[in-house]
Amino acid sequence: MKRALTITLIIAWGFATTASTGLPGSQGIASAAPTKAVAPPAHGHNHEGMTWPPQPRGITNVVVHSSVEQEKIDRAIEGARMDRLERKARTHPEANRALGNRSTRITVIDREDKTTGKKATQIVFFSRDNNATVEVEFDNEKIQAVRSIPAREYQPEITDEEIAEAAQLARTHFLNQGLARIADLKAYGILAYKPKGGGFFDTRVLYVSFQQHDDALPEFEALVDLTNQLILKTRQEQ
Amino acid sequence: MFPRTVRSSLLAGALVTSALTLPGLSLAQLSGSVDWNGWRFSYEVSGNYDGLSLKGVEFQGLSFIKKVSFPVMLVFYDNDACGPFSDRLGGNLQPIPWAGNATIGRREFTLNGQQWYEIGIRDQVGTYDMYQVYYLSSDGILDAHIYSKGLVCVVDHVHYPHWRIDFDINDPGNDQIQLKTSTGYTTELYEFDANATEALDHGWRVRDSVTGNYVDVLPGFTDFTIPDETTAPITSYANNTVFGRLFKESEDTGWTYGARPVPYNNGESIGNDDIVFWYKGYLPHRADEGSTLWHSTGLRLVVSGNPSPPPPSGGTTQTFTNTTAISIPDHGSGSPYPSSINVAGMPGTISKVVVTLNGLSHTFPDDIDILLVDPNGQSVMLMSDAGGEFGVDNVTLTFDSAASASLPDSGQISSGTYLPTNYYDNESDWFSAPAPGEPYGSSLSVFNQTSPNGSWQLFLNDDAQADFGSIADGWALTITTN
Repeated sequence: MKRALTITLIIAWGFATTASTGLPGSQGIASAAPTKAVAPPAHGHNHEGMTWPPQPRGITNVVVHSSVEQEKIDRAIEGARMDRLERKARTHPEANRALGNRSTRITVIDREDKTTGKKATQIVFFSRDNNATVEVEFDNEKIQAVRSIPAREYQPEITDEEIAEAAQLARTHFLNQGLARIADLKAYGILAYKPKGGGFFDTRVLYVSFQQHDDALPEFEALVDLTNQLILKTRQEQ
Repeated sequence: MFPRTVRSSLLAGALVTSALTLPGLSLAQLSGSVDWNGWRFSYEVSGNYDGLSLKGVEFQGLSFIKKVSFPVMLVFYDNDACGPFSDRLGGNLQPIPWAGNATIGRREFTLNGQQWYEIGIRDQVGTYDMYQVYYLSSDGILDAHIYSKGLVCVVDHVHYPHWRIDFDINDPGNDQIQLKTSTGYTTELYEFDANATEALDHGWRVRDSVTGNYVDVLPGFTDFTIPDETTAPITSYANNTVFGRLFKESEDTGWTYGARPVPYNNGESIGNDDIVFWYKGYLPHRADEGSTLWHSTGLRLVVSGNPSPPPPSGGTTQTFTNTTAISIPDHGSGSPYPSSINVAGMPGTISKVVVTLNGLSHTFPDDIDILLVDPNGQSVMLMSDAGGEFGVDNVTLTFDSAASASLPDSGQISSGTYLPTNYYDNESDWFSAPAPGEPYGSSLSVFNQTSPNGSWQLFLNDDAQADFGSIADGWALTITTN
């Protein structure tokens, strides 16, 4: 199974070496079909005096309304609630079975029905043991339902812990290849999708890239299967 | 998720730690509200990973958007050399320097004599560094914009930012999506996917067929002074796509579709209904431009047509009723239990609540306890242990915190307006589930400053044997919002 998956990916995932061979794009995608990146004519970009994120030039009478203190309070309250919901989910027999021994808490989603006003809350996990997204639904913090969605149908966003784990696997792989430079580079992670059709992988797969700093160019990249702890593909920028 | 600074302690080795110094704040669920120069809305970064959303958007008293969000930025690389990726914002917020390092940047400013309000978030997905922002002008413009920089791999690619706008002009129903033609505006009758330039001059419009109020959906700003070189030129809007959909609760779930196109086109009728407008932008990035070039695109909403005048200072008042009779047994819970009223579509927050019981009859009113619970679970005891042994027949009781009198403790109750009244508090005054437990509020003002929308519940309990009665014509809830 693992071997077959790896082979498929190597064929489908066109790295730089295959890019020049003119492989077709994702023709199966309708309105989201990739269009070749034809940017406007080359232009300079004068960012002098500007900071990221961008700010309109010449603004006056600026009054900032942001409140970092309020955000701290919101995060503390929300963090406590997420912890509480997670504890309830992990001690619930059905949810516990769905989560298995290797699972990651992803997020909490609050919903309010537009028509009825009825509210519900979901805590979302990804279970590596079962290769499934697990949604535990609460009503007033009492568990109402547990749903498992196969990874190939839907995967939630990745967490910082998953990025770090995938980065460590990839970094070790590159070091074993004798690429010592990887030790000095910063790692970034992003959830990976199947190159043809854009669907979810059957397992938890992350794309990890390494570069010197945020504004540098990527130097090494790897496709990492966290579920099976495998490096599926690597790429070194020229 | 742990903030990145915490997470670093979980991992060993300097190699990994070097990747963990990003100041990302991944915990979401930030929210608040804005009332500025005729604009009113709430905002949130929810656990749904649909970016920064604005909800309940009003301009000068005209409510026109239930929710505008940024569900996804799809990224496709030439020849599938990398990716594809499906960037969902909200999980890794970054501090914004000009906002004192808050993660939701909010400010007002003046530019070329025009006043603007800016609200945005910065998020990092892989090496993509994005700023998703709304700019609102004091004359009724709402610009939704995305800025992006960074290269995940050194290959030409295109970003496709997606905005989802649940237009509810005046109310959820009777909305139409129209496109400009050489002879006027034509209404789209069924769900559709269309090139943005199918409409003459990119002239899309969403209109309420009853009131005639409308909002124009136009290309992103071209008169703003973000440097032009960062912004997609107007010519590239020919690559943008518009999607019209019928609103369904089950489709407001954040983006769960990976790197695939906008779904839900079932060919359903949208000619005069509750509609959702999706907008897909086009943002190309050539590898030779490097990782530091700022790319940007967006769309502009212009509130125009026939905006309603601002509401009077007292705000909006609506009455909701449930005319189903509530029977009162000789002992125990009334039936139905609870009796409910669903409130929907009210803008703003509560400034006043008044409750009326229509046709109350009981042979021993002292037995009656009545509790009102709002959609948030807050409660007020409307009446308890009042009226003694003096039977009432078909009286109408209104409870208003502005009333001057309470119900009598031991005397005849007559029709009229009263303060919520609770005698002998805590003496056998309890309600069985699903009613909330004590403590109960004593003033209807406890509901103030909260959203009125949702299910309001009236729980009735007869706390002594022998006598019975009913509320023959049900009850009414009159809510005033700011």
